[in-house]
Amino acid sequence: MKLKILSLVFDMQNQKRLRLMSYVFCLLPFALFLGCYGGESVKIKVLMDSKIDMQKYRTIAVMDFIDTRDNSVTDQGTILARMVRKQLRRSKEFQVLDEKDIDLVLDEEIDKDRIEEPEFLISISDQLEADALIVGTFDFYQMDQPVSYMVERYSPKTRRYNPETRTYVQRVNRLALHIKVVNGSTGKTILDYTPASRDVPELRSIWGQALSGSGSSPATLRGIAAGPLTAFVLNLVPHYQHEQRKLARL
Amino acid sequence: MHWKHLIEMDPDNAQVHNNLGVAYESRGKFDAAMAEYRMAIELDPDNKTYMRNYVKFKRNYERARKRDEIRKSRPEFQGQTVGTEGAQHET
Repeated sequence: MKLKILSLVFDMQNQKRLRLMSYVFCLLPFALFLGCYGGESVKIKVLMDSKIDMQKYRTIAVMDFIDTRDNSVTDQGTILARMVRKQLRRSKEFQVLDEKDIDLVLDEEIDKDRIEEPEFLISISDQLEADALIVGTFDFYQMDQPVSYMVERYSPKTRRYNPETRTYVQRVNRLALHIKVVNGSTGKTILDYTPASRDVPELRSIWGQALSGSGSSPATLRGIAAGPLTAFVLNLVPHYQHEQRKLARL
Repeated sequence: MHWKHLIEMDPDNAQVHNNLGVAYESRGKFDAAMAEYRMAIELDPDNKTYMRNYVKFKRNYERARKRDEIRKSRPEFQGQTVGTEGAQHET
């Protein structure tokens, strides 16, 4: 049987993107109309407060994140902690302890069960002389996900193109995070942050081979963790956001 | 400021008051911005754009006021005058 597949084959993601594009094109005339008659918008910088009051915590220790799969061979937890430290330092709101200092001073092993014990967290804070601790766990893994896409098949019998659903398997990197900010003197949790787990499809060449830097490499981890970690840090530090104000047309 | 000249020429122009309010807000001059936004609404109470700008501004203003109160209550800031005027913005 002679098969004819249309040249454009979209997977589900492309279809979503296409739908979004169609909305944009539908709304474009309205946007242009408003642009012509509705006045000009300007962006102004607005200072947003941190979600929790961190003023009394001057010295912060960010501990290496703990892999919930007990995969202690990789240094992924160290990479995540470094990312948090870097962003906190950039805010200039706190004194963030160096990784070397933590390693030198700390003589206790940290695992996912012990970070739930307030007494243990207090003892770490004492050793490090930190006002607050940031501890976290992560789960970074790859999985195969079925992705559906539509094709149109020509049927000589009916002499028509009929839609047909097909599926291919896509490899996805997934990161789940759980971060806590703990008061160093009481061991109580000040902030408990669990962002929704993030999926990033593995990049593949047109020949189907995984591109370098994909898989569970540090670069992939940094890429997938950047957004959630920034969102976490924004809970702790005042930051600027842009807001729109409308100017009236004279 | 360009808008100030326009206000002098036409003090009852709500559009100019609104735009001047935006300009003041963007420079962190909250008290002046408040006066201008209010004037714009007073002159044209049905205009939704002015009202929206004012509501957003109020939220921003309240945050800045709260911050000032916290700062003033701290011992290290006692005796210092910290106003919402020019508190945070840069253009």
